[in-house]
Amino acid sequence: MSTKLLKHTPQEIQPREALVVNPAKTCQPVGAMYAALGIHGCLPHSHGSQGCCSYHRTVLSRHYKEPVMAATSSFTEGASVFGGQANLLSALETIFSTYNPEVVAVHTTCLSETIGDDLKQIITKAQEEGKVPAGKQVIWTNTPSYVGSHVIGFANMVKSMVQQLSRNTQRPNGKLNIIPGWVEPADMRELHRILDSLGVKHILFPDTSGVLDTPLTGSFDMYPSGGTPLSELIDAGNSLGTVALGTICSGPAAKLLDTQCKVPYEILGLPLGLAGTDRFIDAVRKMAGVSVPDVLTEERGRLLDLISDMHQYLYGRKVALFGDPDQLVALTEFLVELDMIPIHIVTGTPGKKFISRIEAVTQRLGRPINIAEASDMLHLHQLIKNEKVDLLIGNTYGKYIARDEDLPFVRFGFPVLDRSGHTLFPSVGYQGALRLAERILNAVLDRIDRDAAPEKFELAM
Amino acid sequence: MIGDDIHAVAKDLEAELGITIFAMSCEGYKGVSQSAGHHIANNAVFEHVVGKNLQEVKGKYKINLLGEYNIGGDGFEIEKIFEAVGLTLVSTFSGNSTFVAMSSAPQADLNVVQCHRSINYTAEMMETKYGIPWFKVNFVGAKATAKSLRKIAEYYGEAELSDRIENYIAQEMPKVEAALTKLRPRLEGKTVMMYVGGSRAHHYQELFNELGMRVLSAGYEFAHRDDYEGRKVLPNIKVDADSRNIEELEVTPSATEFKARKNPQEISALEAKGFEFRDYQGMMPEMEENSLVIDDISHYELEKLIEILQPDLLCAGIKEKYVVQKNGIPLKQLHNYDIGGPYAGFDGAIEFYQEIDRLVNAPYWKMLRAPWQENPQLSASFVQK
Repeated sequence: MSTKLLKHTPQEIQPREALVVNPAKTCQPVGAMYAALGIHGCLPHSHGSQGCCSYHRTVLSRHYKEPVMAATSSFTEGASVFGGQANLLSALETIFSTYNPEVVAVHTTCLSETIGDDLKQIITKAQEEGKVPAGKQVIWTNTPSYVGSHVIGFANMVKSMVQQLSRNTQRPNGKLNIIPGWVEPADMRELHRILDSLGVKHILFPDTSGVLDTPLTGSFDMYPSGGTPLSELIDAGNSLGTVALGTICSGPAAKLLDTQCKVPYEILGLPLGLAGTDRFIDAVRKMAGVSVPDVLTEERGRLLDLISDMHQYLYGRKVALFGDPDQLVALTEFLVELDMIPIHIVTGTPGKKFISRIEAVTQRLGRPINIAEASDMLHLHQLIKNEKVDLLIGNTYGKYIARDEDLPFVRFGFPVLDRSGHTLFPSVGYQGALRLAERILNAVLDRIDRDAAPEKFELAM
Repeated sequence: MIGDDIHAVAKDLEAELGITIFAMSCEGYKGVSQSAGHHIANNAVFEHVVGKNLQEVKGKYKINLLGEYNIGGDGFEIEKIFEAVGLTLVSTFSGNSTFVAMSSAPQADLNVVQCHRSINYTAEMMETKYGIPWFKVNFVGAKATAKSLRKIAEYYGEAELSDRIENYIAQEMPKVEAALTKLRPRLEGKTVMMYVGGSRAHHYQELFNELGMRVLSAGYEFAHRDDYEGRKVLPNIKVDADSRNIEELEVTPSATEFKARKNPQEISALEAKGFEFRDYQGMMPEMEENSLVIDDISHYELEKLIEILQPDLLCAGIKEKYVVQKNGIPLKQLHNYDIGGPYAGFDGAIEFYQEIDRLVNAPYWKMLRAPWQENPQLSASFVQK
């Protein structure tokens, strides 16, 4: 009996339309819910049937290994036919009377989008009817899952934070807005540390550190200490500038801050790897008018030192990677920095710009590579069958391909359902790059050791 | 919502490709819970799979195991037991099963039902159409497993099978007793609450009873009244708008395939001895006086109950897991077993005792407070100038 789990994957790649086999993405509300959890005291609310909310909470809980609290409009046939207004109005009443959050962040589902519920109208009605207590906020965003993917839902919710909360009150706060994009709580924590060491006063949003990496204390707190405070989200309109990390996840919010509140912006890739982090720190330095402390320059040097020390083990090794566009563009650039050869790069999120962005960071490879958007895990597997790689990088769903093709596998991205650490240790910045490089190296070196002939089994590497 | 006719597409392609293709209309907003989906799937599998591609199965005692989904390998554990006692498993609905096995189900002499909630529909329909009787079993819990096996033996009424089953139980129970002797003292008197499933909150009480743990409160997420109170309430349940949405298949005895497995005299003889067919007493009759039964618990209720009852263990799913554990109370997932298991059968019971001991008596629950939180007073010390 074959022990292959994906034994039906044909090597020959035939053109496919409409059919997706093993998606490399999930749906918009998952991203909207994750973004909303980055507001302090926020209860995300899913406007649709109960099962949607249940799934989003489940996948977030499995990735973060943390409580993920959210409410739902709990549609049945009635709401589906007559609209979900009554459900949402009564939900808001219950939420504020029972769970008392600072902010409720409502997102739609396929169902409420298709029947055309107007969240703005319903929430305005709730406010007019006094269902939203004074000082509390209800924000909303549209997250139809037949458009884009989870990263678009994230971007939409972050943009809604700006649209519905940020105000320019003509009182400059001298702060820098940092929109970190879809990164882990540990990454947000690391960005704070970098900005603090640069001496830059900042507003970071959304911020899931202290929300989805909470300590075990013996007492559950529905609204943990972390998250961007509502006051800071409002004040983001008074900042001196915005640095947005990740074109897709953070770009739209940064642009809106400019048009709505006249806050100038710079959109960068995620600060993964050496050049990515260089660009981030350089942009922050210039925008805030600060000089970079030695401590950060030394971190950079340590990263470069590791890269040069271990170059022989990474040089020329082929990599396949899959995941979300912002992450893939930055990670691909890092792999090229490491002198590795990323040859199959697959995202489930649709968007043609992904192709040109990857092409831009892989130019110096001087060889054709496979880049696919709106693609799936089957396609990735087929690409690997047609040209073998030395390493696979991606979320937990890659473990099936890694097992069948006997590939070293580094888990990176969303979701990671079967390992710990991704929420606790950063990947961004020089420190994060050190950890990423270490994990890639360990995967490669473990494989070299495993496969080494007795006479080539080395003590020192 | 947009009205796609997936059934027509499935039918066309079934004809075109010559393989079984069927569709299920499972609107997420239909019905009150996932239970509606079970009913819809029962209907579809009964219409499109059962009896369709029948392959002859040989064996003296042929049974179908209904409502066993092989979570954590429970199905493998039960298969192992069946093989050891000489029962031929025609098909399982639907853990570790195949299309051919499920389509061959009409050959069985008997349907045993593990999860009543999710699959009683198929059991009923197969009895009407093919004449296969069914009764409830429970392979969660060592005693419950023994009881279920004995009931199967009683149904067949043949010494050869009864002897094998008795021998098997006699062979398995000593190691169960040995595990209990070791672990029960570590868990006896501890308390547990369970909010899970449509059968599990009932089944797992067996294992906790064996450990001497007290079930303070239990409830299901998607059960119906009969799962709490027993099938005796069925005639009096008022069909509401939500249940009316799920199709009830009109099933009649098959002209060619109906075959009564027992004649009326045999049935009455068994029933005279107290044997019950189509039996499910529900969860409540087996619970202690003054324990709480809470259906479809909300987060608020869960928090309050934890505060009031301070249980030593909670059983639920992933969405509750980290909430409860942040409170310093261990949670055992009974949906996916926290990737543990199997817990069915005799070996499974031992596995469960050990798992509960590991979880409840884990050292980290006693390390929640740092030394300076336990004893915040500063103590003075001399410092040299």
